[in-house]
Amino acid sequence: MSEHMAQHLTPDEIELWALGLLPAARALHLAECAACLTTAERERKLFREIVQLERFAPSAGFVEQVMAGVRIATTVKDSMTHKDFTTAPTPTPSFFPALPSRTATSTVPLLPENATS
Amino acid sequence: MLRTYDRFVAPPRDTATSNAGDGVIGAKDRPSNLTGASDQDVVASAVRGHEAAFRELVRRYERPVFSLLYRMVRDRALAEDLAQETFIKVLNGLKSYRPEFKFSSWIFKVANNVAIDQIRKRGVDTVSMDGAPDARTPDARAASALQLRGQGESPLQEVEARELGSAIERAIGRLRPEYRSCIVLRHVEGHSYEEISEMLDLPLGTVKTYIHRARNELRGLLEDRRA
Repeated sequence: MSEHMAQHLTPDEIELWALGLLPAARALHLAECAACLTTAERERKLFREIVQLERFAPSAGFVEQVMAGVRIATTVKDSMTHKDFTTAPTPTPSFFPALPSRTATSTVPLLPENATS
Repeated sequence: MLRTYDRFVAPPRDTATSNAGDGVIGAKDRPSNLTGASDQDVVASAVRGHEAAFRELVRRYERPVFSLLYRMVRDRALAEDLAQETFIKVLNGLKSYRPEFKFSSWIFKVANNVAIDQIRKRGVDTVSMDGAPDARTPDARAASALQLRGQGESPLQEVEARELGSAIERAIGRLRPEYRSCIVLRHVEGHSYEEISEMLDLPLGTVKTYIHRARNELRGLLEDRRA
């Protein structure tokens, strides 16, 4: 048996073996070492038991409860279809004010007050 | 306690919302396109303001996040509150998420911190799976207890599976909170040691030590049951 083969498996190697990922050459050590084999089999048994644990689900309506607390940044496009326009973003400042949308009720003048005709 | 998410969170910036991505993924009228999208793409869509993308993120992570929290605090109602808090924190902070890190790492990190804070507030290290310790009536205690189902096999196998599951859950509940989150993230959720190290802000060696010790303790607790 080579020196490497004679070395006991490390905890990481035992985990790899239990998960079926230990290189075959290294796994040969288990055929020669009863102590490592016992530890490895105990570890594998525990893994198999833990992995069977179920994933619990929150109650129905969980998504809605979360969504009630989430602030969604409204896009410019979305804001124009939002029924009350309360979350419409401030338009980028520019020399000319933004034109009101066709569906929005707005008091924004079409031209600046000091515009000359 | 203030916790840092520096590695996950980008510095704040003034980002104007844009409709540049409309019609790609995450459009409100095309939620089915989200199912195959990567977390990063769904997050990007949510940042652009698509509600369906927010819902998709909740759907993807509600069970794993809730399961972790349920196993950490062993009280269904409390776990739901904490899960809700986790999602709201994460979803309201999406603009600061750094896509070079896994979204799952970020959300589990927030969930774990929320759970640890709660456990510290309550001042208990280990928790009962028989219901909330502060429940005032037997009904309230039963309602908050960990609910275990059988595996749908023969009645005898179902009973045995339920008993084993119950014993494992009980043993996990007796671990220190740090060991508990590590063992659940590793063996129930299947994360790598590196990911867990990132999620819990712990050195890799510490994570390995915690998990090895946790497994030794679990084996001991389960062998006591079998003896």
